[in-house]
Amino acid sequence: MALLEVQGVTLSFGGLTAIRDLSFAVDEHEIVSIIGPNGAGKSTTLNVLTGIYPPDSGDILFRGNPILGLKPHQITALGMARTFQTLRVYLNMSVLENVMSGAYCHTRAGLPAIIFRSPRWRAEEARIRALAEENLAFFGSRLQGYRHQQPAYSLSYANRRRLEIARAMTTGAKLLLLDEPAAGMNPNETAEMTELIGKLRDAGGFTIVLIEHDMSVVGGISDRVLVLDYGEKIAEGSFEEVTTDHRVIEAYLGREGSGGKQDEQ
Amino acid sequence: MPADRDPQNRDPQNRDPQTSAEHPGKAASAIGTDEWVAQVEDRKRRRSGPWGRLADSWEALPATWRYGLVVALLLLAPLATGTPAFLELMGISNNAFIIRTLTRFLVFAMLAVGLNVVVGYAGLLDLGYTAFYGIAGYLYAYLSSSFVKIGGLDGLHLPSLISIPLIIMVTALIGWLLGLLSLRLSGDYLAIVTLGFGQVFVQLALTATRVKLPWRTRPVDFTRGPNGINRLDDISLFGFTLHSTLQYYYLFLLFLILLFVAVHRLNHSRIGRAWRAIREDELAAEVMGAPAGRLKLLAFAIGAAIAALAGTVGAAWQGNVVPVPRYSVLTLINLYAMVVLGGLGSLPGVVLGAFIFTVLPEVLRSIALAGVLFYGGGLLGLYLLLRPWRRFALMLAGAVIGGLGIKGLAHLLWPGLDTGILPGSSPLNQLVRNWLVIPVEFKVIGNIITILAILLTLLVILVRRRPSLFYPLLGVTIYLASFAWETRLALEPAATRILILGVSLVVLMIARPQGLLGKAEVRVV
Repeated sequence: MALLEVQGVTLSFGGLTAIRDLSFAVDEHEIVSIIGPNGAGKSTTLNVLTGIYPPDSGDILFRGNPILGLKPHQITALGMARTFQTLRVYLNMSVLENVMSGAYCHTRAGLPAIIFRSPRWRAEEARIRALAEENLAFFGSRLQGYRHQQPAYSLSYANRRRLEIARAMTTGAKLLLLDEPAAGMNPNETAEMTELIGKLRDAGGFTIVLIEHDMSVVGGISDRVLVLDYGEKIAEGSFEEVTTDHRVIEAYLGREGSGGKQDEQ
Repeated sequence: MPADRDPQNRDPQNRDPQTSAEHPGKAASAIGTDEWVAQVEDRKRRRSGPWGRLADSWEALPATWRYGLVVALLLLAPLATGTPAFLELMGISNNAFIIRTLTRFLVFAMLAVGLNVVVGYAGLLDLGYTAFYGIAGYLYAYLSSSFVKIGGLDGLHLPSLISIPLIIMVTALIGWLLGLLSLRLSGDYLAIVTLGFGQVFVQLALTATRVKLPWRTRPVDFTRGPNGINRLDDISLFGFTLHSTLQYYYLFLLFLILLFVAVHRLNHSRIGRAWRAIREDELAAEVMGAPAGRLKLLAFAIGAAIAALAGTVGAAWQGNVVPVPRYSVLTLINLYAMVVLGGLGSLPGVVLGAFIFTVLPEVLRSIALAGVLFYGGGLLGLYLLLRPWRRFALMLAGAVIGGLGIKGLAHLLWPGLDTGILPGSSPLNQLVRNWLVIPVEFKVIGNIITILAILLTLLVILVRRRPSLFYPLLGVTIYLASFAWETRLALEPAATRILILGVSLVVLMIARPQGLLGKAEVRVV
């Protein structure tokens, strides 16, 4: 059974159909990339999956259960976590706190346990701290040591992206939805991120849905690639298959003979 | 091969074990260039000047010592039998007054700690906060006085051990309900709705004096209007009834410490982290698994519960409840000023803010103390403007000698000029008048000089880069400011008190927009 199943999802904002009859499935331990030109509906797809936008029709199954109508935090608790294209780390909290905050959905300490610092609270707090440190260690030495106590705003752009991934990992997710994890990174960092996404799957045991514009990332690690254009899935298959698909080339480059039009836009 | 070396490693500090040893926490995880960056940032953070050094050495103390010291001071403060000599000199000779002021501080500190949970942590702009304070006060009045007369009963007079927890729970429930109604709102909209709630409470308290009930023939008085309800019971715990302000002081101190510890622990837990995450970015927090709605309701309820504790014990201490001004917008503004001044989100900060806001206005009631503050603040500002010490001392000496010269000249040229007699006789007054020329009609001239002094102060700040203008003008300004104080401001204590309070707040907030102990917030980088 597929980990995630999207069945005929349609979403429109007013007269604009952002996603049209989208269906796909993600198996466990797969890396699936979603690509497409700007405005194709990639990020909107993630927003639908994580419960931010309710779709007009269609169904979404996660680990066999329908998740439509659930609130974002409930979906996260079921094991699906994401990062954001426009970085959304908590700037004024420390790096470690940013990551530890991701553990909310699988911790249980209530007010009395916290106020009296019960042994259970201590054990739980120690557990999340260790988990957060472990997840930060995933990124090598960049987010280590004194960095733990620094506010997130002191981090570089690339480090904030890593921090977001660490935070998503800490939610205890099975499925990570990464929205352009390599945006704004230099070629070295991009290569490193590519390697890291592979490591997330192989060593971390995560299943990954990836939105990315950088084809070196997509081509390097994807098991399967989905191509969206104007909210519709126009191709699906291996990277080599979709990049030679004429509809995909059209979507990216425009129809043959009308190349001038692309420039005018 | 030197060309292959990492450029950042050229800095010898990077590998110097001695430098690393200065930062034990960081050296433990020696990480090459990052370590070096950390050291640079650490150096940048270090403050300069005597105040910076003082703050640094204070922060170098272990936290338990710092808090222990503050608590010990608060424990001992009312025990100073009689009045310290320097306070007596300034016109404060009443120990009861000091204890009363400190007790008021404790009530406001409790309120500020609660408001900090709602506004500082969860980031909810709750302008109905004082309503919870008031609701709890009125509930205590109903439960613990002779006000409610049902079935021949002369008031309910519930024991405090029952009434206090009951009131806290009921008020927390009301806070939760208000949160539920305004859950979809945020920012300005939430502020307006909660402000309305607070206003409705005050208006109800003022006007619900003749309410017709279907089963009663005569209208019922629920609140006694603007006069409020008085003769409330004292708190009695475990058979011991409190009756002096001193006893309330120690009870409130205990409550404040317990609240402080509880809220501190809450802040450093999954709930506190989630609150701050919601304040930073609600959508991200929700998507990262924190139920934002439920957590906001919790913050509302906890804030209301803390306000209820302060309201209940505060009303018991005062012995009455009065809607205006105690539960009105004025108190709300004061509370927000405390929290913002002290530093939103910083627990020690908001307590310090409450302290400054309750103690400073009382200190300024004594015009002699206000004088000390005026001259002290003036000298401090002067020093900060003129650092280092040598320049400051030269300027001061210049101003004093110039003033004495003017006085001498005035005596020589116009013997009748310096014959005005000022009221007030504190040592400071005497000292300063040795160099001021006081004409008989000092009030009229004082008005002009006061305005002149303010304009000159602004001018001095404008020309501070041009020494030839700056130093002479500064000297004249010092002289005129002192003249303005002695002839006008010191003689109008009521107005001066508000004026100094306002000016010091403006200056404090300009100097530290994040509040005294707050951390500078970064929104978008």
